[in-house]
Amino acid sequence: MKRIITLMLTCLLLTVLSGCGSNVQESQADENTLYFFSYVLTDEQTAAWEEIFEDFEEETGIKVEASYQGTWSETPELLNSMKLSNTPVDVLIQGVGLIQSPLGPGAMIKDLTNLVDQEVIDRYEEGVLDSCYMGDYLWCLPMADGGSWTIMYNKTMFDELGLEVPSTFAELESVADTINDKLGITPLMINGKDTWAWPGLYMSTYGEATGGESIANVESFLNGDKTFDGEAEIQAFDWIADLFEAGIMKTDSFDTDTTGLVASFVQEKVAMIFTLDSTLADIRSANPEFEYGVLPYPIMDGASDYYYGYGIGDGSLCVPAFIDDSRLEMVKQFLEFATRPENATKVLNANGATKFKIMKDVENSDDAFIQEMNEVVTPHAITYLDWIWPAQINDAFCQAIPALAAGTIDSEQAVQMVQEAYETIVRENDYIYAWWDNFTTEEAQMVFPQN
Amino acid sequence: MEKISKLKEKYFPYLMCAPALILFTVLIIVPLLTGLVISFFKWDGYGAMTFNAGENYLFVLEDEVYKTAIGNTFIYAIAVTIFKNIIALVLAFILVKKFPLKNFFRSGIYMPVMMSYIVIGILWTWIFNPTFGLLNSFLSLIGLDNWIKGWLSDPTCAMWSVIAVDVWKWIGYHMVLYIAGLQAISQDYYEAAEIDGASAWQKFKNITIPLLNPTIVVNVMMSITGGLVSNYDIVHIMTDGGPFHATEVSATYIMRTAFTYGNMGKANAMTIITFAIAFIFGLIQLYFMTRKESEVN
Repeated sequence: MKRIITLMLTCLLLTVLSGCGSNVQESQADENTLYFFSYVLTDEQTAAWEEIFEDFEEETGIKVEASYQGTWSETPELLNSMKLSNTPVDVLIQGVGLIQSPLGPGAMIKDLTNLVDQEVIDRYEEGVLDSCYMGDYLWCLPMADGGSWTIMYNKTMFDELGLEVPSTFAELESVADTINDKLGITPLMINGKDTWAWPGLYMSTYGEATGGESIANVESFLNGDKTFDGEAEIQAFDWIADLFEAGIMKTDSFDTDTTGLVASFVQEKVAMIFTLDSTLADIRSANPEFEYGVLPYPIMDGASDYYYGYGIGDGSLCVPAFIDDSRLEMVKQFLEFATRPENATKVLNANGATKFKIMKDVENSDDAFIQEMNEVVTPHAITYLDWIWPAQINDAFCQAIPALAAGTIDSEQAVQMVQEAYETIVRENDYIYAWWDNFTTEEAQMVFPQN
Repeated sequence: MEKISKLKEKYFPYLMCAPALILFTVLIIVPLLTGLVISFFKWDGYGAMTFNAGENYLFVLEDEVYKTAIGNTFIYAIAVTIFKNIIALVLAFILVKKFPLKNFFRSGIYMPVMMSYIVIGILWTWIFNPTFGLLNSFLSLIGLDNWIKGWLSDPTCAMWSVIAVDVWKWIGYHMVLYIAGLQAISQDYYEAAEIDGASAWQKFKNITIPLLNPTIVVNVMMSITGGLVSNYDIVHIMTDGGPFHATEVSATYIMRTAFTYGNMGKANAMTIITFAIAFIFGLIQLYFMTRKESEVN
């Protein structure tokens, strides 16, 4: 009996294992169904999309089958799995950063330039689609709120200490001295344990060091037209080191994550935080009574204006490159339908009103703090540099900035680290910034619609 | 009929082993060989694969971060092995004796074993937090302010902080194995030694250690293997290799190279090299430890 059971179990195991390998099968796409894929959204966003799907079916008769899996950063791997297993996907949600790398260079996303009519483009505010264009090709349509770096300060603490809002480095240094002397707490903190936060600081200092030309400079560097060791590059690192040398920031930033940052701020263990505006919801949830304001980034000695990194394009509608061209008409219909103001409003305002004005006929928030942020940050916003440079370069910044702040390396060594990271990816990955001009014939046929 | 019976006798053991062998082949051997093949290609994980001979291996050998990561991996593996085993052995000696609340202490020490690395990583990250963490608050409370530091941000101690957490998690597991090993040693040996006038140290050296050697071999093998290849979760959660690669281990760097940098070929070359180093290291260790055992026998 035991032998029979063993034999049966072996056969069962072999059957299961042989099934695992059968990934080459025909796509199961229904011609009257649009397949929508997204990372897991908030309940409110999911409900908003479901409402749009129902309305779309009512108007066109096309059913939308939606699937929500993983986090935004897992989308490239999940999309690749779907491609390999022929799982149908017609439209997906993804951000500009991952389109720039790895989805775009990996020929995973379709060019939308000729798939989206001017009428749809005109629905967006001026400049909003800038980061969605790479190499004059349109790769996505934003359908989520924008975000930006900002410095928030504890208003109550500033009032109690009689501190004025600083606008220059010297003023910030004076404020920090008062906070250090009177309270003995850290004046300004960043969530440096999340290493992705450090480049946010560099976006501000490099913006000031280049007089707002940071994007053009980085593009020139990534194109190989210049090396990353000029005066502006070194100056931007120096200005970060100055924050630590002046006692404005301390090494406690190194092992503070986003949650720790918010906790430290609302518990009044720090006076100011350099953060993404998305922490606002956490701060409000942790202490609804807490009073805070927005600081302009301090203008450093020799700079004329300040800058904050920002981006609109996270949570954008994209089309997978491996979709059959026969399905593009349906996709085109969906993109047009979803971006109509009355539909976009549902998604954009699903988590409360949007901070940034994205579409012409979709209202943004009238919240007082958001208004303040729009006044202080928006006119000084420059596109996130980590949406432009590849992950290896970003990682070099993530390692170099805390090392510089800790005094382990100097600014010359920091720029050298970035330069070496670039040379490494050119050598090892055949990196080319203009990836849209570098597709093989087969890839180009997938990426660029043929009709 | 007799022939069939003989055939059954001959092939039945193979049949019994087949499920495990098939699983081992499909889940270990095939991925390893696939990785070996990929290591000879330039591939971002999405587009076409380009054969680049052994270039990826050259890139790995030139990579200073990988060398740091390999060095850290060995420091990590050796340190956790030493601390886990010494502390677990001491605890086993204490908790194998009869005293009140013995089971309470045994359960308490074993409890972290049942917790996931995610929970432990987050828990200890908060304990180590420089602003409101329990550790620095406690040090301040007892007047040791000069001991306060960024436990996970200071490159000189970040690796030791992570190692301490891994040791804390697993000592309960090794302690249970040592207790079982100690309980299996017959009291007759100790009684005979006492009659001969042996000291406590002589009894430990000449009875306990030799008879506990199989348990020590298992414990050391498990902790060193775990330290070499199963350190990804805790390092990723607590420091993700930082600060400045001070806690970078081969697993975190391989994962980053593969999935963040999109360099599957180089990541697989690193995997093969790491596997080869760990395999050779394991063989040497096994040889020496089992040789000692046979010498004792």
